[in-house]
Order: sequence, then C-alpha cells, then structure tokens
Amino acid sequence: MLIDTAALEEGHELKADVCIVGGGAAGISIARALMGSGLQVLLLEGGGFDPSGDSQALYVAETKKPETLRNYLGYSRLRYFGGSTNHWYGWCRPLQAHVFEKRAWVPHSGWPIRREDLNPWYDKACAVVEIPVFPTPETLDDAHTPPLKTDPSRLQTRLFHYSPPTRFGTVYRDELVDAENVRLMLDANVLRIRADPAAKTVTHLELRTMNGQQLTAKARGVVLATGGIENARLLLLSDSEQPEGLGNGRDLVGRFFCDHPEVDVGQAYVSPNARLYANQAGKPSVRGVLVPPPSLLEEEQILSGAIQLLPLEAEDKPETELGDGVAQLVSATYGVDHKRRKSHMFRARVVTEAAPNPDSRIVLGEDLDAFGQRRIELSWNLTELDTKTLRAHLEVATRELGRTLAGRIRGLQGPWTQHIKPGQHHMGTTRMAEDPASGVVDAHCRVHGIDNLWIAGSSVFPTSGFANPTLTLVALALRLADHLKTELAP
Amino acid sequence: MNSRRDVLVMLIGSTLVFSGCGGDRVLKLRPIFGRKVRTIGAAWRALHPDITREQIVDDLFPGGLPSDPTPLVLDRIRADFAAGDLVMLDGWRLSKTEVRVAALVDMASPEAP
Repeated sequence: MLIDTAALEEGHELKADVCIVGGGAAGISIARALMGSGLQVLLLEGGGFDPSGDSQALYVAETKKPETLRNYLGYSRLRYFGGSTNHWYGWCRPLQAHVFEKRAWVPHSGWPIRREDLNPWYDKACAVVEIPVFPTPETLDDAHTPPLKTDPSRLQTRLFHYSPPTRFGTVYRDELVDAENVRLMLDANVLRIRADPAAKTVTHLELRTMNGQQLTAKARGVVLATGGIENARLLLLSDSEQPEGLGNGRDLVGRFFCDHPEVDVGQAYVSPNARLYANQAGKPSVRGVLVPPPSLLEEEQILSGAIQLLPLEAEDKPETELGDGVAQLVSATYGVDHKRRKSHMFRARVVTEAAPNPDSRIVLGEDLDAFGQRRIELSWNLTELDTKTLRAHLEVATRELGRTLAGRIRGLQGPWTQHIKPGQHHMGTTRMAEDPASGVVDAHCRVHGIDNLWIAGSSVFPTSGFANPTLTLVALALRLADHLKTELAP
Repeated sequence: MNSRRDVLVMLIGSTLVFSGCGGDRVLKLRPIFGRKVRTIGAAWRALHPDITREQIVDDLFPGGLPSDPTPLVLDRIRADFAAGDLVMLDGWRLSKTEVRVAALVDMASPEAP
C-alpha cells in the first residue's frame, strides 16, 4: 500500500513490525523479501517516485579532502525511490573469498563472515538484479571471445555480469505497493532515531515531510538503509540519548569511509582477443577484467584490484605516431590487419580495493540542510598501500600482457595522486565486526549494543574488494531479511 | 666499408635483410617490425644518439644471427616483460628487445638520420 502522506495528520504515529528507512537497493530488497512473511513492514523513502531538486539538495555535502572532489557526494548518489540504482551502470560480481579474510598486510581487514556464508544470498541477489548466477561458466557462448591466455599465477580473467541495469524504484514499485503487508511512504524524512534512556532499544523515529509535517514511526525492528553516507549521518545526528551519536560509543561511526580508487592510466593497445574485456553495457552482458590472483596479492603485499578496458575518449586523441607504431607491433604479433587497429585501442583503467583507514571519515559539519540538520563533511585519505596497490596492478598487467604479446599499455607519466578518482561507491562507515571495539554492527548487521537496530547497505563493508558493491549489498540485505523473519517472528 | 656492407639492416617490405661478414641474411621477421614501428625506434634512438647498428645487432644476437630470428626475438620480448626489463617511451612500456629491433628498422629507413 502507498501511504497518502498529505492525508496524515500532524503528529500521526505510524506503526509496524519492521521499519525500513530508505528505498534504495538495500531497503527495497529487504521489503520485497519480507513480503508475505506475516510481518507488517513500513518502508520510508525520503524522496518521491521522481527526482526533485529539493530532495536532492539534502545530499549536498562538502568533501574537505581531496579538495578536487568538493561536490562529489552531491552527485554520486540519488535521493528518490530506487536510490542510486536510478543511475547505476549495472556492473555485478561477488566479492572474492579472500576479501572476507583477515590479511596480515592489510590493517583492519577481515569480515566476521566468510564468502561461503553469503553464497546462498548471492544467488538470490543475482535474481534481484536480473543476471545469471555466478560463477559464470568458463565456456562462453558464441557472442564472446575467449579469455586471454595469461599465466594464471600472474593475471586471471574475472567476469562481471551487466544488470539491465535494474532500476529498483521502477521495476519493484508496483509489487511493493500491491503487497498486503508492506506500506510505502514517500517524502518520509527521518531526522532522528530515538531510543530508551540507556540507548539500548530504539523507541521511535522522528519524521518530517517537506511541507513541515512532523510524524513518528514505531516498530519492533528498525533497519537503516539510506546509503553509505546517510546511514552514518543519521546515527551521528541521533544524539538525544547518546551524545556522541547512536551506536557510536567507540567513535567508529563515520570512520573507515572508503570508495574504489581508480586511475585512467592511458591508452592500451590490446589484441583482438581482448573483445571480452571491452564489452559495453547491454549485450553481450558479460565483461572481463584482468585480475592478479590472491597469491600474487600476498606476494606483492597489495590490495585486490583489476584492469578494465574502456572506449577511448576525446582527450585520449589524437593518436601519436609512436602509438601507431605500438599498435602495429601488437596487431602484427597477432596476425591481424593493422588497418583495423583503432578498434583495439582502449583506455586502460586501474580499479582497486581501498585500504581500510580510520582517518578516512565523515563527520557532522556546521552547515545545515533544509530541515536544520547538520550536513556532513568528508575526508577521504588514501594511504601508501592504496597508491602502491594502484601502481602494482598496472605493472602486473603491463608485464603479463607484454609477456603474452597480447598488448601494451601506456602508463601515466609523473605523479599519480592527482589522477586518482573515486568509483562513487560509498562504503565502510558503519563497518561490520564481531568485536564492538572494531566495528559498528555485528555479523548480522545489528548495531552493537542496540537490540533492535540493524543496518543494510555498503556502509557495513569492512573491506571493499574491487567489485562494484551493489550485488554484495543486495545479498547482505536479503540475508538480513531472513534474519529479521526469525528475530521478529510474530 | 662499402655502403652495402655498412648497411646492416634494410627494410624490404616486411622483411629485414641483414648483411654482414657472413654475407646477406634475410631476417624473416613478421610484419611486427614493419615501417610504422620505426617511430618506436626513432624515439629510442633519440635517447641513445650514439648507438650503432653493430652494437644493437651484437646485443640482440650475441651468438650470431640465426637463420630465422623471429622466434628468438619473440622469446626475448616475452622474457623482457617477464623480468620487467622494460623501456618507457612517451609513456608506453616496451620491451628492451623490441625497441632495439625497432631501432634497426628506423636505421634502415630512407628517412632515418
């Protein structure tokens, strides 16, 4: 059912068994998974079904560091039903098993769950984002070229599936509105989470609509699913019963912010056998990336990462004479017509996991939004391990493509720092850990010390791997939904 | 030293002909080392203006010129990349061997300095 927000009286109290705050990929996945569960579900979306400037303006935030990304949090997420799935490209693959493990050379690494614990929900998540399940068969159909023959101890091919991409707010809107046990409310802006005096149990949520109506919501269980930034912000803003912010007794909320560092390193000329790596969104729906195996990551003491091949952009041209010579070198090695070389010229991008860093964090700033709420400020601090990792992945790929005569890469000249961009995946700010001293939520995504507050979304990732986060956050959300069915069973 | 013997490397179509003490030998390299590759050679030579053809050939083929050098050259390119024995030219990471062969191609070019 869709709640008619305008018809609600001032001070109206909404009640449910489960209240989900946020109608993005995580919130919608949980609400759908709870359909028919017997639990009464209230799904609160701050925006509407369509984008609006007033709603989006609530996401304005300042990036203090790096200064080149000052407005990055204003455009890298969307505040209306469906959330950032309204502009995602649909890249999907699970995190690799080693990403879940504690790695001695990666400080603060290690999840309290293993990859295999998540596998059943990864399969279900694939259905949600409308892709086949992983692992993808090694033998690809005729629409694809085979993977490059590289030394697997140096470089392997790993596949992404492209979601159509699923626009959650469009694809799943009707079934949620029609669901008997789900009520969806738009323009439901949660300003505070309130708890009992000991801050052990959430008692209710304070809501306000854009036209100033003040409402409350009560539920036996509350799930925050407002994204990698707002989940932490809402906890920090909820300081009525816990001055440092709800669930922030260890000063961990907002820390360990991470995004996928990426660098467009330059042109790459790769043999025609590389077509698999350059498939764009659409069909065929599989795309390869080049990835060193975990053993090499350990040997090199670096984070995980991948090399992507992208179409050349205007700034990559004009092609230099020397580049033309390199093109001939590689194309002739593979015995192809040099005249078609431009179709084998790409822009190479290195995308890596981010090092978990407690000093990379979001905090509440002094600026206020339209509701009088403090906006956040971000400091994204990369470590030496991050820059070492970026360079090492380029080196491994350059050498292995050359060794197999399959390609050559033109790397960056000069300092890299100014070229590092975020992948626009916000993670880590309410990280998962078994020990409350190390994380904000436990292995079931429950906020440590609070018995009825859970968090869904990429903010719970302790480490990020190199894969885009949507598939994993949906898998975690579905796992949480199953947990809630048990925890909150009538 | 007559001009023919002086020219160790000539580009004929996509084939290099080496002439030396042992007489002419055709270096049957595939078109990898065709004319456009000379731009790589020219760029590398600009960094090593005093390098000579003899030095490059000796460096590439210390055991003498094989009858079919292509497999040897390709193996050495692979080995260079495996060992990280690379040269950077205008940002491109290239093997030490391939830039030397490209330099020979450039030296054989009529437009070469």
